[in-house]
Amino acid sequence: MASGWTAPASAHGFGQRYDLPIPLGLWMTGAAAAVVLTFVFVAIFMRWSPSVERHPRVDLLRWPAFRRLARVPLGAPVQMLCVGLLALTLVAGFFGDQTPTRNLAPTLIWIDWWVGVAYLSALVGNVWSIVNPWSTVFAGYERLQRAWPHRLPAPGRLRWPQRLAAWPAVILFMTFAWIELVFEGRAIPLQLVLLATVYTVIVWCGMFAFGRTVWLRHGDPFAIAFGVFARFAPLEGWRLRPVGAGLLRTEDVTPSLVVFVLVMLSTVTFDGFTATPVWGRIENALYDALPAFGNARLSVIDTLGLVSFPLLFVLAYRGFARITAACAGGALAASEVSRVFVLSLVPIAIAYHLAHYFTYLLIQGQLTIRLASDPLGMGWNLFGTARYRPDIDLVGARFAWLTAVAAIVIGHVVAVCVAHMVALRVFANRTAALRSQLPMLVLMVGYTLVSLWIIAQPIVETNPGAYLPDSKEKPA
Amino acid sequence: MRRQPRAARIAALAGAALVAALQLCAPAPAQAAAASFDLVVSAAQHPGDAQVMVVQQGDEVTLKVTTELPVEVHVHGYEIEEAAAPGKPASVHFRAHATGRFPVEIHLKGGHRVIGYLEVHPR
Repeated sequence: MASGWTAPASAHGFGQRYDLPIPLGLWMTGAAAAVVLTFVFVAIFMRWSPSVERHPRVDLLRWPAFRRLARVPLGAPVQMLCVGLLALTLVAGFFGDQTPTRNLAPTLIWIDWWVGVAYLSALVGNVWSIVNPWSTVFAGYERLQRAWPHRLPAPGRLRWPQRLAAWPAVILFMTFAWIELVFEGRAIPLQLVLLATVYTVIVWCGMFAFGRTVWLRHGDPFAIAFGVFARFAPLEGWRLRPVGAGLLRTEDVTPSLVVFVLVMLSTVTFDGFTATPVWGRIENALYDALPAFGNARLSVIDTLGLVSFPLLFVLAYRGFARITAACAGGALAASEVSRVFVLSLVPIAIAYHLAHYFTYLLIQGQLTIRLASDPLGMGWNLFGTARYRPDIDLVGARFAWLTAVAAIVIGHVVAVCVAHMVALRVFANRTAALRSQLPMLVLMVGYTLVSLWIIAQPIVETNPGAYLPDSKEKPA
Repeated sequence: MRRQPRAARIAALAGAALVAALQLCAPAPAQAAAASFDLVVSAAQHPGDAQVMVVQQGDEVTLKVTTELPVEVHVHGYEIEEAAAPGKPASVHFRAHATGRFPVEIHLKGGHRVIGYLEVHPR
């Protein structure tokens, strides 16, 4: 063992990913599989039109076992637990040890919540709509208000302006993406919970002004984001459906939601891109070229990068929508095309998100075990796990590689199928539908290849110019 | 039905692809070796100087860090820390039991920087 082995370094290192880049052979196999399977499914669809009106649904409540499970009153305790976790996170951030790896706040927010709930939303169902603690607390206020209608002001007196649609959520989500990927204090507990407090104020004001459900449907960036992921999931309430079937529902997709989805997709991709050597070289070049900004240079460069990705995605997508509309003979306007097809890109983003965060969740997520016993970093040991050290052996590189590539290929196939079924619904006949799909397939193959390329890149840390002060964390 | 033969062909293709993919990742059995690397920390270090050190899982790794400034060497993941000073190089020795790409960083007063990446490849 190392001669100078000491206790784990606690100063930084929060949110690191230790993934090995996938080997070239696996990259090529994945890319080839994506392209080949695309052709295979196009060939299948030329002979067979799946029913687009109703996808197979299984009502789990048909079985007595599930009916019994549904009757167990788990909802309220789980909601209370989440409210408790929110409160504990805020307390830990304000009063606990400010070292990122010794405080519950960064781990709970960035790993357990942002990555964990995203996984559950995509793979299980819309759990956030049930456990959202802000919603739970406000629902409590609603009940109080109904009991004393003359003493407490009633919420929901304003109507959500039609023209506003989901644009506030777009802005809020971009702000969140900036905090996640650029903000230097994102691993510092106090800064994080201050931002969480600002969000709390925004949410409760929004719920009070417009009503809880209206806010969650139109204004809340996380309810909408997790909701988009959840459309891919197999469970809707107690009904089982094919993976991706929820993405076929496009009546409620507004132009602002199209932009929201593209912003989500692009920030997920940018997240991976910022760890690549190519981005490192861009950062270094711009760092040397922009001395005017002094110490804020890194933030400025990263912000420019962060803003350029959604712009690129929106421009590229609109271009492809226009080509698709033209290929289909002008039967549908480009804006209508972009509206109905945007959700079919979600499986590719989900697959990349899974590939990117899988080992991160399993390895860095183990910090939660230690932090459960000592959330404030004060030397407690509530559950006896305060000295637990994350096991970096938990996931081997080969297993991580195979699951990452498999996820990306499967996500691609689901995307192709969803897009095809949407095309069948909106275009006059099967031939028109298939012809219209060619540009979309090119876009999807391109997007999938970019995802594969990113996980084939060695992960590099930001290292421009002088030595970085300790506050500049860079969680992956 | 015309669908059946096509479905069978697709299944065969998918199976062949899977076998090919697994072959690409088939482990190459070899003996655990000892690997030693020298890292140098200088005051005028340029970004992008991080050295990539590749070893196989199970190898015994020794990192010798020579420095012009007093620093702390930190191997991420394995969470190993060792102090180094001018004239007193640090020597870190451990068994690379877990696969991954682990940054090797140095901490100095008020800052840190990556001086190398330890890549532990699966056997």
